[in-house]
Amino acid sequence: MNSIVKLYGPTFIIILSSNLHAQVSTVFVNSPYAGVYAARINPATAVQMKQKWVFAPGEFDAKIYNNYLSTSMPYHPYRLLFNNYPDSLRTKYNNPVWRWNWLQTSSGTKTVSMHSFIKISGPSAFIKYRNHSIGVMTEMNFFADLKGVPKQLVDEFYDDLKRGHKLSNPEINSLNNSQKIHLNIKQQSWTAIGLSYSHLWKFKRRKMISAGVTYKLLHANGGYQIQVDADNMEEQSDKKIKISSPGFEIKTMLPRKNIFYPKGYGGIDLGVQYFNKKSETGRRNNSRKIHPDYLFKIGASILDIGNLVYTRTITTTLKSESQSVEFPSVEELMTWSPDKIKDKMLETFSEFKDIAPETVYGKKTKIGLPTRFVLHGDMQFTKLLYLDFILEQNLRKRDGKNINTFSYLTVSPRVEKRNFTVGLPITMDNNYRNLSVGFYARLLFLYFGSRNFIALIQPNGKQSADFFIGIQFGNIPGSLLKVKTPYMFMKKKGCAEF
Amino acid sequence: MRIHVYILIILSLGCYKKNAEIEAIPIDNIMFKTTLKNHTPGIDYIINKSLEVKKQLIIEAGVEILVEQGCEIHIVEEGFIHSNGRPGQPVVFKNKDNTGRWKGIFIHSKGDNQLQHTEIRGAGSAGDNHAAVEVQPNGNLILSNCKIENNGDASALLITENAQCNIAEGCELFNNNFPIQMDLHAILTIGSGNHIRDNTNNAIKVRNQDGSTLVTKSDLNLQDYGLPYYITSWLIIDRKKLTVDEGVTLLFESNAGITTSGSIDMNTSLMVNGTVNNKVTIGSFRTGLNEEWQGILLSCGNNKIYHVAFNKCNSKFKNVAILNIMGYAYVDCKYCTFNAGNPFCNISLIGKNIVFNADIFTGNTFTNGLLPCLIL
Repeated sequence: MNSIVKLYGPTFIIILSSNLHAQVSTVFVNSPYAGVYAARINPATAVQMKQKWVFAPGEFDAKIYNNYLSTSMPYHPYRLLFNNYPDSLRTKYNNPVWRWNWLQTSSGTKTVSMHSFIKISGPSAFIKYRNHSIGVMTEMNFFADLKGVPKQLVDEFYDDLKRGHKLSNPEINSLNNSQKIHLNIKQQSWTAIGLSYSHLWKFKRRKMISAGVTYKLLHANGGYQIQVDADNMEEQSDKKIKISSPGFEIKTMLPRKNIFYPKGYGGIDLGVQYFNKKSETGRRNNSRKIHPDYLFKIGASILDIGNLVYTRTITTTLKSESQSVEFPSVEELMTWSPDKIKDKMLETFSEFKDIAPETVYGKKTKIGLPTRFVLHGDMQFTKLLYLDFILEQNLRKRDGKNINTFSYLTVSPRVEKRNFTVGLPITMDNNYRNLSVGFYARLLFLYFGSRNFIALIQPNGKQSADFFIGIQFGNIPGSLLKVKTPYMFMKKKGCAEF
Repeated sequence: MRIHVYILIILSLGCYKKNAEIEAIPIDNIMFKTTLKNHTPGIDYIINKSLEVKKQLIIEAGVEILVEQGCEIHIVEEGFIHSNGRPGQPVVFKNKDNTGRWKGIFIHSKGDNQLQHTEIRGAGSAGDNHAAVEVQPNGNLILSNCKIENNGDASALLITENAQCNIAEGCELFNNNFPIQMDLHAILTIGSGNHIRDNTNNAIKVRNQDGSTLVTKSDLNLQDYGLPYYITSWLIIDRKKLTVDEGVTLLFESNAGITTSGSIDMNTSLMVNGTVNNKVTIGSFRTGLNEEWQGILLSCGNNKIYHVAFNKCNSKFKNVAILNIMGYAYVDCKYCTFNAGNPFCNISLIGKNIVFNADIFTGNTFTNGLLPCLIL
């Protein structure tokens, strides 16, 4: 059992802890039926949604990315799902076998990065009244990021795993001399309750502008950050390397038990949307049914302005002149708990000469929320066919302690009816580096989709797998809150029709 | 309207502060230079196991530290503590509740240990002969504007042999068993503006921490700090000089007193330097019947005893006096008041080899009217 844990555990973690970025559901921001989904990306959309009210009991939204491992399986995962795979790949218990050669490593990178972001939302609700909309949203976020691990070290570790259950010591001599080290590992988790308000202003010629704001009460659930810097590394012996100017910082952020403290801190989302209806849209003689809802709409928002504030932080820093460090064996390392690893690291560094390690308890630490700018627009071509886009630009520095997301641009054609939406988003993802094709759909109350549908069925380390699913109710039949059907869809014959 | 009320309730959660220990951060042993910051209005840190401070520990103003029952803080030789409270923002060390006392702070290092504007309470789980703050041998501590209170059967401060403690200014020591307990050869300095009051015994308890007899190992000077000294056993002057400054009060445990050691050495000396306006008082710590002190026995050395008020001692025989001069002792005793009961001697001059001042008979006051007894 131990060996299985050793063998599969790290691999599993590496695969899962790849770059995952929530709010994949942003593809829905332009749909007037998106309700809570759209309001999360632009609070101004809530007052322009089709429903008079929506209630979303829950949503799950995740994105995963790594630049190291990818799978290359002899059959598609769906065969696993339906128990349809060749006999040659069955064990004697009729289960599918696992082979290491199904995993491939990337060769085009010097350092390994992993990134994950998961959002679990709900319950959330919005209600519209005349030109106003108010809503409450809840969400839990989990963020993890690892950057700058030398690929050679990961390669050797991975090779050991592949060779068998026996793990050898790392061969440090494979490390390039004069390699700069900048290792940054960070993890955060936080909960938010958002209170949203948006307002609609109507102008002449059926032009409308809405503006909205969401204030989020935040509770930081905890996090940590480890940062290691060194100018270069030089091999001295089998297990010993010389590190120039090593610097080390470990920051443990403990959550406040007293929820929503300290006061006065929270996150804010701001958004505006411009809505352009053709003047003939509402006329009874709009027989061509072009632009029945609107000609186009365009919106912009800035999301997650603010910080998570930790007052219960323990920070240990040290900086030193060039030092020689002896690594423990991997076998030994695997048996250590995280606490022991931390203690050993501190112990190792405490033996350094000319060093001034310092620990500070209780220093106020602000972790920037993943602030981002969103620009989105939508154009209606026919009664059912739309073309929309969304551009999301990360406004936080990627290095450092703040939470950040990847920037992307999505263009998505979609077909939409009252109880049905389907779209094919084409995305320049991962800071506009990778092109991906996704799929999303809405069937009555159920929303699901992915911005990178291909990565779900054939995972590829260079591209991110993502997925979202959620349920949202709105306008359950009833006289009180029933949505008013626009006059043009009432099937009434106007005087001008023949 | 109702929705606004709900919004206000939710928003008010964000303004809610609770002064409780739940936000406290547990502290591990101090391996590196460590700073403790004030991060919450309530208890900032919790010590739930014995803590070793191996490097510099800096505690910033306003920090509250809760120490769990039986736990202790040791500032070991390599470490030192700077507790930097400020007026209105003291550093506080306290126990969890009234029943669960912690042990105290033990300073073993001779580094620059400083407690400023620091409150220490609820310690003393080790009981009598221990203290909330103990300066261990060769340790060093400076206190200013500190408050050490409610430490049960323990003292506020304990200073062991060769340890140095300077109660510089503005300190308050109250509701302890004794405000200060010290070894005979501890180095104690008390500055001005300190308030020592309302302790079970408002006296400086002199007792060697290892329980050994109080013997002078070097020349010793007992200064007047406004508190009586409570001497817990015989005080033996062994070939050294014991000087008692003006104004000092020495109170002895039952059947204890001052004596010279058995060896005949003329370097032995008792110098009691009372003055007309500031007399020295020597007597019993206890007030019960037959609990009096035992008096002074001098058998050698040059001794000077001026302006002393001697209280009644526990004399079982008529010739056993408050001041007993014998052997080869030289004594110059005058301006003193002796208060031996009737019919006991106030001064006994025993043997042929003693030397005493001629006016010993007339230069002192004997309340029972009995002049010094000559016993040849």
